[in-house]
Amino acid sequence: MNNLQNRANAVLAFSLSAIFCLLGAIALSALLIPTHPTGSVALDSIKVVTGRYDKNWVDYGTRDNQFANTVMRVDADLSSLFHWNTKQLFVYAVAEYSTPTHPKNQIVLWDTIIKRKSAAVIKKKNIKNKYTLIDLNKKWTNVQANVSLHWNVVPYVGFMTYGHSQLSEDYAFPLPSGVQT
Amino acid sequence: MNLRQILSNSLNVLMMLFGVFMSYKAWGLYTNCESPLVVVLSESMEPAFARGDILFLSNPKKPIDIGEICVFKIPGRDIPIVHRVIDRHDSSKADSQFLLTKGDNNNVDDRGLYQELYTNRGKMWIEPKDIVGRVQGFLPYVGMFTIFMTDYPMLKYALLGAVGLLVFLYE
Repeated sequence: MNNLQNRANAVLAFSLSAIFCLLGAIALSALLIPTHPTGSVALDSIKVVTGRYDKNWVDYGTRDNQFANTVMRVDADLSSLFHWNTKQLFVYAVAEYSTPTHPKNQIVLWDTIIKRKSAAVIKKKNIKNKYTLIDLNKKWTNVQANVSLHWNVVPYVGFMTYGHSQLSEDYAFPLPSGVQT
Repeated sequence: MNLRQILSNSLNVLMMLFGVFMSYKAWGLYTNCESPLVVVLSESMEPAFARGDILFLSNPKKPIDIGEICVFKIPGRDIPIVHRVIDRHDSSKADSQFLLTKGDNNNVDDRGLYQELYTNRGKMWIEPKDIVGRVQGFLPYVGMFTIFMTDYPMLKYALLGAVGLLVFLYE
């Protein structure tokens, strides 16, 4: 009855269930720890240019696409999101607008990965959009967009959680004012 | 060791295997996802996900949000891809979304991947029908087990052999 095989089996089974109970408890604890992140994004300028997008060979090859170039400032204190089960934060600024054909559009303008609590206070100016700001219809007529700061908490183990700041005021896209090749 | 013992042991092993299989399928029904567990195979989502990490997927009813990490399949390409949604355009029809994805660790978005097969040339967006699941949970390292099994098939046979041996030797 109490041979080596049985003992090894019992030890293995018990340690496995103990480890998984512990991991489950840690995963659940992350949902209970109170956090109070704050953040905001504001656009300091929007310019619309027409042109084609030559960085990427597949898309927007014709010369009549309207791209928007923005300069933004980001202000955030996300340090309370760092607790014992936080591996990293993925922080991203999002522009949101609606068009007659598509009621909800969201485009990531800029993003960053934060791995330490000490780096979780962001105060940055003069950020240019890292990703192309172009609509599905490739035109920016009569569009009002707001911006907001979003974050995704990636845990060491457990649930992916998301959050975002309040939406900014609406910004109107101007008429095209230049050509981009 | 008699025949009765061997049969009883085989029954136990089969019970365990089918039990695992049934719970996996039941979980798939609950999460509305064909494969609710995936193992990360590439480095494109570093430092969030590394090779060998396990992701728990589900397909909730609500539309896919910006910044969500999705597992998607491009027609004609076997291996599903785990990347983050960076553009989202919802049309007024329900369930109709146009999404653009990018790996956190990649320098460019995934349009190049969407084009990879000639059937998809000109494909600018993926849609909810391409999505296998949306990442809800994370468990590190455990998937290395299956990676070792596919990298070293001998390991797989050794494991199967051990289970077979158990059927004949366990009392």
